[in-house]
This record gives sequence, C-alpha cells and structure tokens, in this order.
Amino acid sequence: MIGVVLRRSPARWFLPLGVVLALGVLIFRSRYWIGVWPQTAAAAQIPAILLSGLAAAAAAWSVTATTRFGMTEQMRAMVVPGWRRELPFALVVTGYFAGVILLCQVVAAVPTARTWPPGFGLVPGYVVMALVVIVLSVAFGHLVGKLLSGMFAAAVAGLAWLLIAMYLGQMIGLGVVSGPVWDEIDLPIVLARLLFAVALLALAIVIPPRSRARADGGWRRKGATWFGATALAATVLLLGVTVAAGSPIKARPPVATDECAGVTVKLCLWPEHAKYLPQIEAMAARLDQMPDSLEVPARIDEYGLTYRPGVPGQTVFTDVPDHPPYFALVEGSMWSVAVSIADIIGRKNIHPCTAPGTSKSDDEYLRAVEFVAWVEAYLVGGTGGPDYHTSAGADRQAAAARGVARAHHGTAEEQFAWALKTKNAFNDAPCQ
Amino acid sequence: MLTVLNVQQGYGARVVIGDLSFSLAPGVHALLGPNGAGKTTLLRTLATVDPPMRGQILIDGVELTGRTLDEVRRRIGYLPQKFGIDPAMTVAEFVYYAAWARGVPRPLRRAAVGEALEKVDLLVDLRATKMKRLSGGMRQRSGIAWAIVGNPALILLDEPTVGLDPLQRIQFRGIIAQQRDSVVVLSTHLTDDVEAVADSVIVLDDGAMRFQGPPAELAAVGTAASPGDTPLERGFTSLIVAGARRAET
Repeated sequence: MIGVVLRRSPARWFLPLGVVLALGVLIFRSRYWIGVWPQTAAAAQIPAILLSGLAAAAAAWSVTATTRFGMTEQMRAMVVPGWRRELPFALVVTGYFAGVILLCQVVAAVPTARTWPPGFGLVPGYVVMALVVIVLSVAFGHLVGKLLSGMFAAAVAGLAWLLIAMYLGQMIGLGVVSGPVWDEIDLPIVLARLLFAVALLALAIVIPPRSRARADGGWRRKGATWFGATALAATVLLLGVTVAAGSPIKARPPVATDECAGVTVKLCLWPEHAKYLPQIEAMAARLDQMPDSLEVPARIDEYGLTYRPGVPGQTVFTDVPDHPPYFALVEGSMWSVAVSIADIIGRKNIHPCTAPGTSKSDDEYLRAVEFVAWVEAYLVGGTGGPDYHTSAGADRQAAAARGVARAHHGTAEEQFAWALKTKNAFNDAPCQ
Repeated sequence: MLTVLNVQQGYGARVVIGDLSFSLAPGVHALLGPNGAGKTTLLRTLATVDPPMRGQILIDGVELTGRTLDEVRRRIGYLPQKFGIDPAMTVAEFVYYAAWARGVPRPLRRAAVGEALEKVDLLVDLRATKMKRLSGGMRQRSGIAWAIVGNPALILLDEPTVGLDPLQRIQFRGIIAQQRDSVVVLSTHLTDDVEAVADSVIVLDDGAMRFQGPPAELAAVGTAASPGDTPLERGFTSLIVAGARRAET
C-alpha cells in the first residue's frame, strides 16, 4: 500500500517546492560551511525548520484526504482500522520530507568530502536533529488535520508549526543556525527526541478524529486502544526523558591539535578548521611583525580547543588564569578572529584605572577604541571594513572607523609608531 | 448466507428500523422502498458502518459483534450511494486500496484486483487511467469493483444505478447478475432494475418489512387500481399505500 500512497500522496505536490527551498537555503545562504564537517551538517540541517512548515501542511492535507474525497462512509466498513489507513499517509509524508533533508545533507557533503575525516563524527547529531523537526512537524500537522478540514487545516498546520518551531527552536535547541567546531550535538539526546517525535506521531495517528464514529463506526477496536495506550505511554515517558536530558547542544571536549600557525606567536585551530590555516598563518605573521613594545601572548587558541570556560552550550569569552587566551573563528569570518585577538592585545596593552571610583577621560577611552579597531583591521590585512555591526554610540563608532582607516594608510612602521604613541598616551593619562 | 434477527436501528432516540428479521441466500436481492423507508440505514447497518441498536446479524453463520468485526467485514463489500474516489489514483490502484483495506492477504491482492476489474469489464488499458478521468458509467463500474474485490460473501450496493444512462444501467445489471455466488443486496427505488436482475425483493416502508419474496409474487400483490405502469410497480405501490393507510388509522 505504501507504493500506491507514495505515488498518489498529495504530499508529492509539496516536494518540488521543498527541494527548491532546501537547496536554495543551503546554497545561497552562505558558503563558509564548505570543508568543515560540523558546519556542513549544520548548514544542511537549517532548511529543516523551513521545510517542517511544508511538512506539517502536507501531513494535514494528507490526513484530510479521505474526508475531502468523500470516502469516509465506504472506509468505515473496512477491516483495516482508521489508524492503519492513516499510517501509510503519515509515513509517506515523513519519508518525502526526511528524503529532502537527507538529499540536502548529501549535496552539502559533496564539496566537503575532501576534508574527511576530521569532524565527520559530529555529522549524525545534526542529521538526527533535522529529522526530529520533520517528524514532529508531521505529527503536529496530522493532529491538526484530524481537528480541522481541507485547505484550512493545511494552512493552519503549516503556519502554526512554523511559529511553534521558531519559538521552540530558541527555547529547547530544536535546531541550530550554525555548527561551531567547539560544540557538538549529543547523539543520545537527539535520538531520544527522535523516539519522542515518533511516539507523538503514532499518538497523532491513533487518536480518533473529532468523533470516534467517523473513524470506526462507533465500534470499539481493541487493537486501536492497545496501540493508543502504548503510544501515549511512550510519548509521556520519552517527553520526560527529553525534558530531563536538556539541550542537546553540548561543549565539545578539548582535543590535541597540530593545526597551529606562526613562529613567535602561535595561533592554534581545531583540526576541522584546517582550511583556514593560510589566513591564520597570514594573521600570525602580522602578529610576529608587531614591535616588542606591543605586548602579544605567545599562544592564542581557538575557543574550546584546550579548555572551555563558561557554561556548556554557551560561548563565554573570559580570561582564565594559567590558560592561553583564545579567539573565535565564527562562520569563517576572519574579522571574528581579529576582534578576539584585538581584544586580547587591547587588554594586555591598554590599562584602565584600578583605583575605585576613578577613570580616564572619555577622550582617552575613544583613543583606546581607535587602538583596538586598528589592531583588528591590521590583523585582517588592512583591507575592507568589519563584517559585523555594532550598536555602540556614534562617538565610539567614529573612533573605531578612524582606527580601521588608519590600518589602510601608511607603512607598517608608521602604524606601529602611532599604535605605540596611542598606547603610551592612554596609559600615561591621569585617572580622575 | 445473511441472517438478520430482530434488528433495530436508529439515530439517537429516533428508531428508523424496528425489529427487522429476514434471511437471504446467495443471489441478487433488491431492497425496495420509498424515500425515507430506512433502506440506507439498513444497508449501513449490514455494512457494519454503525452497530445495530438491538438484534443479531449473521454472515455465513458468523455473528457480528465487536470481537468478530474484522472477520465479518472481510466478508462484506459495500458501495454507498455517494461513494468517494481518490482522483489521483488509477482505477487499479483504487481497487487495490479497497483490497488492502478489506484485508485481502498481500499475496492474493493483485490477482483479486485483476479478477474484480475483469468482472466489471474494465479493459486493461483503462486500469491505468486516473479515476478523475473516468466517465460516470466507468466510475460506477470502478465502484462495483471496489465492492466486489476479494469476493465478499455479502455485497451491499446503495442506489448504484442513480445517475446512469439507460445503456449504462443495462451494462450494470449484467455485471450484477454475475455476482450471484454472493448475497447481493441492491437498494433501489427503481422497479425495472428489480425486474431485470433481482431473484427476490424486500419491500421496506417506514422502517418495517412489508414484503419478502420473488418479484413475480410482488407483482401479483398489485391490483388494477394500484398506481403504477407495470405489475411490479403496482404491487409495490399497493403495499406502500396500504402501509400509509394503516399509519393514518
């Protein structure tokens, strides 16, 4: 029967749109994920949220088919009970959309394949995470289809699910927008979530329509009761398990790496970020060129590489004694690396007032901002502007722009001379 | 063999069929009655769409209960008056769906579909046609194939000739006539269908059985004064009119 439903399911009309949307989001949203396995799997997981709206609508549309086609009466006299008749439709919708997600993963994996194997072990977590979203959305759509009818049910299911998914997505980590190398998806937790989603789908299938009489003609079916009770018990149990397990986004354990760049200043990366080594080498070389009078740590690690401060699942940048400072390489942005390192250099060289109740003048602080912005732009190579936006005040933004502009003009010696002068001027300025 | 013993059926507190008993052997049996007589309610009850309020229904000696529901349903082919179709399915898929839902075992399903389509004279090239592209007559034949797939012991057809042109009705009667190995209950209000195809007639009026017997006996009940153009019509109307008079008094 699955074959017939596969060929005739109304869900197939949603498929071309689903494939176009999924691949469109994957390919046109960004490219930084290419060559980094966790980022690749995370990028291919992102369309799941968007697709899940379509999947919910398709599930609702599918389950209303019997009513829409006026087949309720003749189906009520059949041996196969309502839940078993609904099962192939729900499976087919799930299969179609899960297929799109897997296709997305395969398409994404092709350009990344050459970097195998570092980070490949992180892929299954993201794949299962995407499947959870799809199965949950089908369960939701199926339920809505039993309560409402026709096109209305599909529209309500699709839109309502998108709202729920976006809300849940932030609250419980239903999906991620990026797969940073310092995080991992806890596979047992997402597998438990997948089981919960499957149990919920089973429950959605076995729950009778608005009136039991519509499903099985007022007869009590023992099989349905047993199946329903099992699905309900499994759903409640697995919901408890998943709630207790918490977020599936976990801190990845530190690893030993030899992906380091630089001579006097070493910048070390996660093995999965090997493709960024040339840019990091260039950055390390610029750090090496800096005069000795500008203090730079001997080693700076990528976030989470040798230790992980802060709460697991949450990126927190704070200094930890006896550990090298760290930088973040976020979604392939060299500016994100430069921002981290500039912050470190700023803190090493620019000393604020320590006495309680004292501070330097506002002009001095703007000078410090200009200094840090220059370090950022210098590390990136003195070309272009930051790829991030800031909500800082106008005077601070102007100071930062001056710092960036300074990295674009003059020789390195002239820039270093200015940097040293600025550092000394700030540090020598009196605390008031 | 279909046995109905003291069956009562209705909706809520309203009784539509009261204390009905009859037995039917394999053959074609017409269920004749005016609108509102309870024909559709009786067919729906026999089809197990709704459980009876009271009484027993036995098909081939198996009594219809919650426990035997599946076993009984396997023996029933039901085509409601307004049966639905999945327009995206082909004719063969539509009938296959019925075979699956009726519990025809998987290894026998394809053969059962082929046999049913053959019985209703649906040519091989039409089997791959989508249901939405079929004419009214072809759609009706597909509906009958839906009802007979898997050779059910009891075939229930509710007003199956409504909307068919004369030629299609003749073809339809030919198809029904071939199903005499099963108990075929044909609900209709058209006496010429009864005359052409039925082995026996049950006249239902106001939820009660007024007559059961061969069409010739029903024709004999009528008098020259009874309304109608044919003996069968006169026999039928004389029973209905007599029932109405009884109700008035």
